[in-house]
Parts: sequence; C-alpha cells; structure tokens
Amino acid sequence: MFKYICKRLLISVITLLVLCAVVFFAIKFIPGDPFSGPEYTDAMRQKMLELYGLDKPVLQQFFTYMGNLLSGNFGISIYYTGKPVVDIIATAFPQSLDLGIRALLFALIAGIGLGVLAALHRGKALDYMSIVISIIGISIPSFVVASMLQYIFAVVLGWLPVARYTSFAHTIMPTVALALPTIARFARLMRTSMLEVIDSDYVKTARSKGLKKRQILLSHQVRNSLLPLVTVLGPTTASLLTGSFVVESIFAVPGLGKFFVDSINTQDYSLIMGLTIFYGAFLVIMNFIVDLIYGIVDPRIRIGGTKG
Amino acid sequence: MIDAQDRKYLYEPVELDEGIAERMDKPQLSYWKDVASRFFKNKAAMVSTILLLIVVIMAIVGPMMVEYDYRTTDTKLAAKMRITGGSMGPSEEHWFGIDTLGRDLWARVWMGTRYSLLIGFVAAIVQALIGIIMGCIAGFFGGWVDMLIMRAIDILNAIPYLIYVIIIMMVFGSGLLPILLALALTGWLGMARLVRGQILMLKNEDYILAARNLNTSPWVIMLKHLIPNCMGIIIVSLSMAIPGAIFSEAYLSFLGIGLPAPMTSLGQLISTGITEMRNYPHQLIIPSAVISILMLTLQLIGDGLRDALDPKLRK
Repeated sequence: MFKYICKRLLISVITLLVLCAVVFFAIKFIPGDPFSGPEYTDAMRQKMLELYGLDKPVLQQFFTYMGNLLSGNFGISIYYTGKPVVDIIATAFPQSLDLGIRALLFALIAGIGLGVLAALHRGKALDYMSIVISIIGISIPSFVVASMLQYIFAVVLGWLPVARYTSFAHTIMPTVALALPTIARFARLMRTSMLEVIDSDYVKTARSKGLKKRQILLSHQVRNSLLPLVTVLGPTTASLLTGSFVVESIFAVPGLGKFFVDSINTQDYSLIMGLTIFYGAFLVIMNFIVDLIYGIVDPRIRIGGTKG
Repeated sequence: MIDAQDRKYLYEPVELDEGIAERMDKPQLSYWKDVASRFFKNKAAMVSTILLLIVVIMAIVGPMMVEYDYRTTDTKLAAKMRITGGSMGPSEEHWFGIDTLGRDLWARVWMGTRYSLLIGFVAAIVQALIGIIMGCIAGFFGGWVDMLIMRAIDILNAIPYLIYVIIIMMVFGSGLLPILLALALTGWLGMARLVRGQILMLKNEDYILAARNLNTSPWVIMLKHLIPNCMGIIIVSLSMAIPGAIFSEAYLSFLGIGLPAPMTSLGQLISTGITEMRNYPHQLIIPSAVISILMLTLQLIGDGLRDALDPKLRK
C-alpha cells in the first residue's frame, strides 16, 4: 500500500510540474505582451514590464513564477488591474464548488436511481426511458442543454429565474444542466453492474434465507454494484469542471468557470495561467484521493500495483 | 468380441465423395461480412446511418440550394424586421429565417454543419493515426519506450484535454488549422492505450513468432500483422472520436476561440443564438437541433459498430 501511495504521489507531482511548464511556456509563446497596446508609451511599457518582472530572461521568470506558486502567489490579473489572482479564486471558487457539489449529489441520486430502476425493469418501458435519457445526456452538448433549459423554463414558461446565482430557485437549472452528462454516465454504469449482480449466487442465498426484497436490494445488490462508480469519479470531476465553464457563463453564475471564459476573451494571460494551474492542482488532488479510495476499496489494485 | 471380419459387415464404409465432403451448406461468412450483417440488423444504428447521410448530403448541397451566400449580410432587412417587429423566423424566402445581421440561416446552418463535420472527421482521423503509432511502438517494443509513452499518457490524462486545447488555441490563434492541430495533439491518448493493450495481447501469437523468425522487420510486422488485427477496436474508437471532436469544436466556438468569422460552425451559431434567444428563438433552436441530431446519430452508429465488431464488449 505504501509503495502504491508513493507511486501515485510521484505521478501527481510530475503531472503538476508538466502542466505548469506547458502553461507557462505556451503563454510566453504568444506574440506580443500585455503592454504592447497603443495606450502605453515606450517608457511606460518598460516600467510595466519591470513591475511585472517580464523584462528578465524567460527561464528566470519561470523559476520565479514556480517559487511564487509554492508560496501561494498566483500572480496579478492584467484585466482586473492590480487584483491578485488568488483573490479572484478565493471569491469565485466557493460558488463553483457549491454548484459542483450540488450537481454531483444530484447526479449520484438520479444516476443511481435511474440505473437501478432500469436494471430491475430490464426490457420494459422504464429501462428504455433510462437508456434514452443516458444517450441524450451523453450525446447532446451541455451548452445546448443549458441554453434550451434556459429558453423553455425561464423565457417561455417563466417558472425559474433566467440567470444569476442568489437563491435556491437560481441553482436549479445550472445544477440540472451540469449534472445531465454525469447522470447519463452513472445510469449506464449502474445499470450494467446491477445486471451483473442481480442474479448472482449470494443474492439467491439472501433470497432463500427469506430476507426482505428491500433489504436484498439495498445491502446486497446496490451496494455491490457501486464499485464501478468509484472508478469514474476522477473523469467525472474533470467533466463537471469543464462543464462548469459553459454552464456558469450561460447562467451568469459568478464562479471560476465564468472567470476562466472571460479571461480567454479579455486575453488576461496571468489570470488564465493562474486558473489553469489551480484547476490542474485541484484535479490532480482529486485524482489522487480517488486513487487512494479505489486502492482501499479494491485490494487487487494495491497488490497488482499497476492500473490499465 | 467382434473380429475384423464381422466389423467389415457391421460398418459399411460410405463412399467418400470429395465434392460433397468439402461442400459448405451455407455461404462462408468472412469476419467483415459477419460484422456487416450484425450492423444491418441493428435498427437504431441503421436509422442513424440514414439520418446522418441526410445531414451529410445537406451539409454538401444545402448552402447551394439557396441564392444567398452564408456570409452576405442584409442589415436593411434585419433592421426593418427589428423596427416593424416582424419575425426573422422561417419564411418563404428564408427557409430557416435570418440572423441578426440579415444573413440567411439556411445557408449558415448547413455551412456550419459542413465545417463541424470536416473538423470532426479530420481531427478524429489524425488523432487515430497518432494514437495507433504511439500505441504500436509502446506495445511492440515494450521496455523503457513503453514506460515513457505510458507515463506521458498518464500525465497528460490527468488534466482534461479541453484545458490543453484551450491553451494551444490561445497560442496559435483561432482558425481551422489551429483547431485541428490542438485536437490532434490532445486526443490520441485513448486510442494509444487501446492499441497498446491489443498489441500486448497479440504479439505473443504464433504467427508473429513466425514472422520474427523469418527476420521480418518490426515495422512490417506492425503494418502487416498487428494493425490489421487491431482494426476492430480502431474503428470503434474512431467512431467515438468523431462526435468527440465535433463536440470539442462546438465547445471552443462557444467559448469564443473556435473558427474566426466569417467561417461558421454549429457551436458558433448556437453561441450567437443564445444571445438572441429572447426575441428570435429560431436562431438557437435550429442549430441546436442539427447538432443534437448529428451527435445522437454518430453516438448510436458508434454503439452499433461496437456491438457489431466486438460482441464481447456489448453492454
């Protein structure tokens, strides 16, 4: 187990370093600098470059940047002049996290529910309904779903507020739009693994012992088919994250995703860099936790040592 | 005991007719014929194929069916509609209506479909090629080469590829080539993994050993023996990569870093459609419907191909 943890940890650290290097040098590759616009005189430009440390050799800049990252300094935004990137993350991340957790919980409940119902009613209407929902969820892009929801429920029917993120009613549509692909993924997995378990020997034993149906369902069938869901928790966090970019900008949720999209359009490189590295670190940590959980839940991984 | 003499009478030898013994009762099915027959039996996949064909044909001939160019603006018409409160929606002159700048939406939607399909297919094929090459090298040579490639994949895989794509797009600017480049550079990981797995399984087969003993060069073994035997999973994975690439392009266009104007794609049409949703919902609904049909059919065809090519994978 110790060796397994060390290995995962090493890969996580290398991943982060690679990401930082890629992001840093990619952004250095973009021609021009933030102060090359006509509003800056040459003297001013020189001063600004010095202020942001952009006049030093690139390698030195890189090591300074990495050093700053270690002390929690993500640089200063260019568009929101003088505002540290860390401040933006601190104010915006809670909203994104809130939305993400809501979507994950909703997806877990709806996905598991749909998958179990489909498996129990195999080949009947409920099964087909859940298959249709999961195909729609997987194949229709989240921004189409989000904008359609917004059009139908906010503009035409007027049941829910169009945008912003201030009350429970505001959170419903973003949550559903963000959760849909994940619901689809969970429902598919759950259906498959339930079908494998549903007639296994221990379920027959439980039945012949005279256990109640509900008891068998919850403590034998559902419990044993949950394992595959743990394996996709990593990709799920990633897809919730990229999904949040569009969902947040459609529903004007003042979260990190919206800042990320805005920073692309305003070409605020230091904000993009900071946010990308923050996202990267967040994902790498999540993946590491998922790997650990998986190692604990499934002993084969620990002993085998390698995955896939 | 029955002695040899008796046996002669007990068992009368059947007249052996070479022609009959070797005759097949049913026509012989090659692997690919078998696959085709399984695919044709899949109703969802067949309906999807027909629908997809219609969309592809429309993407080719659609823009030519109307006299309007997809780039020509008609601001006068748009302004007139705006002031008089007239509908910009579908009419006799403009089958899908017009957009806010007075451009014909029929031409734009099908032109956008054309670009989306183009990017989807080209990006998926390039991704597949890189993936196959990497997977082959890693699987066949093994050792430190394999280690290096697999660890690189692990590291790249930890971050959603869309984030890499966004960074690459920012460096190279928006345009058709940068999109293809960005998608090609980031999308090969899955294919490389699959191909490597398959090759690890195949490379100890006897026919590979035979080829090695005949001193065949490793590249010829890969090209002639290994890759043809991986064709099943390659096709399945390719068919799943196409909707993936179309989705990525739409996503990038939605974020504002996709194709530059005047080029257009479904993602871009949807993104402008959202801003005009309140007054002119057709600008959102029509491209959304087209991309949904496209993604649905491609997904169902992919599922159908998977079931047909590799019945073991069926879920």
